[in-house]
Amino acid sequence: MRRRGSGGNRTILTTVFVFLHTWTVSTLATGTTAHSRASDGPAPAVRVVDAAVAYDRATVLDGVNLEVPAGQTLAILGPNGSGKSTLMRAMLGLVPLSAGRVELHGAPLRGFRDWGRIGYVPQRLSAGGGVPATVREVVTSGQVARRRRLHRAGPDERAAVDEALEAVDLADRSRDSVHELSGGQQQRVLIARALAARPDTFFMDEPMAGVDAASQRALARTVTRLAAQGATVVLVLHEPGPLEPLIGRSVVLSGGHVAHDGAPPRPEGDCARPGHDHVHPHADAEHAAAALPDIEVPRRG
Amino acid sequence: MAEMLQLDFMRRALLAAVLVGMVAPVIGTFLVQRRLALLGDGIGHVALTGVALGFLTSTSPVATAAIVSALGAVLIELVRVRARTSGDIALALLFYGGIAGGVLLIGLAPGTTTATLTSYLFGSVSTVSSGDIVMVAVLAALVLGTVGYFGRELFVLCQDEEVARAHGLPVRLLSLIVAVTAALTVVLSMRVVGVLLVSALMVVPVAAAQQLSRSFRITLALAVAIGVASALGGLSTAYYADVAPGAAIVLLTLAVFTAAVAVGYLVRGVRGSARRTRGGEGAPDPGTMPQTEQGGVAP
Repeated sequence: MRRRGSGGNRTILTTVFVFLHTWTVSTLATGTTAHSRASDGPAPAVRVVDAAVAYDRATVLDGVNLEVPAGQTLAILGPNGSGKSTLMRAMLGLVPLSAGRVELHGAPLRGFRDWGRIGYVPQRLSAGGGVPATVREVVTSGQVARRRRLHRAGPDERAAVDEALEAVDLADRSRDSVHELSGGQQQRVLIARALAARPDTFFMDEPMAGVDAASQRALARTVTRLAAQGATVVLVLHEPGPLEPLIGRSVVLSGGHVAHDGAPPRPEGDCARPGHDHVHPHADAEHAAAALPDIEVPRRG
Repeated sequence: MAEMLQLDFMRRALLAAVLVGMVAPVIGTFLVQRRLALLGDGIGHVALTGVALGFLTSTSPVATAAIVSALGAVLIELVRVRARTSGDIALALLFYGGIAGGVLLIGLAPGTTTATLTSYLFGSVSTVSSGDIVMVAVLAALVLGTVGYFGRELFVLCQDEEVARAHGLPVRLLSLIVAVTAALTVVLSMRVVGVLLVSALMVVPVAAAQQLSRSFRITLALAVAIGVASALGGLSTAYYADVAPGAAIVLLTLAVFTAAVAVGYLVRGVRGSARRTRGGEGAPDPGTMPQTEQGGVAP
């Protein structure tokens, strides 16, 4: 009886290990060929078809249809609980759909392999277990999908990291621990991490929430540059704030449905000039607000 | 020192201790960052069932422990993913199952008693055979190789699982790799410090190193240095003072941790007061400063 038991165990073990091995090999093989797939066609950067998401049977998104053409700067707006973060997370496959489908650059999410084109900026830096990491280490880790195994960073990769750090004004903090930085600086680290792999499709989840004026300027500058370079930028925002002039299209969610889809309400006056860098130091917003009614002071959360 | 090295069993023990001191903090750094510091403990319990199974089937207890704890680690990972809300309860069930299974099976094995398990519970580095050394060396190479190969992905995974997924990384596979690598580390450390103390060698050197560093790489390197130094120091202490080697090693890592906390506090205090105006550094420092000086010499 005992003998048979252990023999059975061993067979199961062998099966498990063979399965794991095959899995490893196939996963890694598809991973390394990721960039060989070209998708230059007219496929939109993101296509969401009849998407629904439910957490524990509570519907968060229902029947959402959305197409983001390549090169567009799109803001997903809406009150708290409207499902805007969930929509972005569903676009990236971070939350499972209960119905519908998502395509990235023409490929269904499950078959999408070109993750080097995607730059995701989460809402905040996760603290994890508190093992320190320098700003540079975190930014460099953004290249994980592009880097060759067991190779040190080449000059091109190092240059991309330097460039990303400079884009967010953190070049002088590169050797500091990310946990020593302020919330706004951490947000900039996350953006630099997304930039480091030089992707062309960005997903930023509330990048302006709880961010100081200097970080807002750095962020607005970065988004302007990305849009000029033809990148697709999807932003989840509580309100447009200083990014407003950069936004080409707004999708407003309400109760898990798309309530508005189209041009954002255009700013008036000086701010409406094309190419106007709509960036304000918000520290003195109280005084400025009376004189310039179109200034919006982003609130936290 | 020379006298200690002339003894065959001590040479083997020192080799095993160095390997364990080196490998455990490597995987430990990733576990701590993933908030799985206690995973090593859980796997240790499961490993005990594997040891008993080895005695029962008259095969190598280390080999069966490796297989059973790797399976246990996979199971823990699956439970963690599938049953998020009741995850810790499910893990606890598995831990107790591991210990109970070990005690039950060892009772069934002919010619063994629960006392047989003691050397695995608390370690018995002086009885390490050359066969064990080969096994430990192979496992150590496997663990270091895996971490070296997947290092970048594991760093991203341990920083933020969702970001890893948005990079297209095979998150589930990588999580399993972390769990199985941790299981192998537990097994290779089992003979040196024992399953009940394995986790200490994975976690405490990392906890000490992170007090003193700002970078992930340096934390990892420092944790390895602390692990190796504590393993060697603890084993030598055990040899000369005739105390339990596993316990001596772990207590030494804890002493290093205490010293590191104090040094880190002092360094940050100095850096902080250099920025601020002087005067705010009064209250806590006097108590910690003398401790630092003593502890700093220990490793």
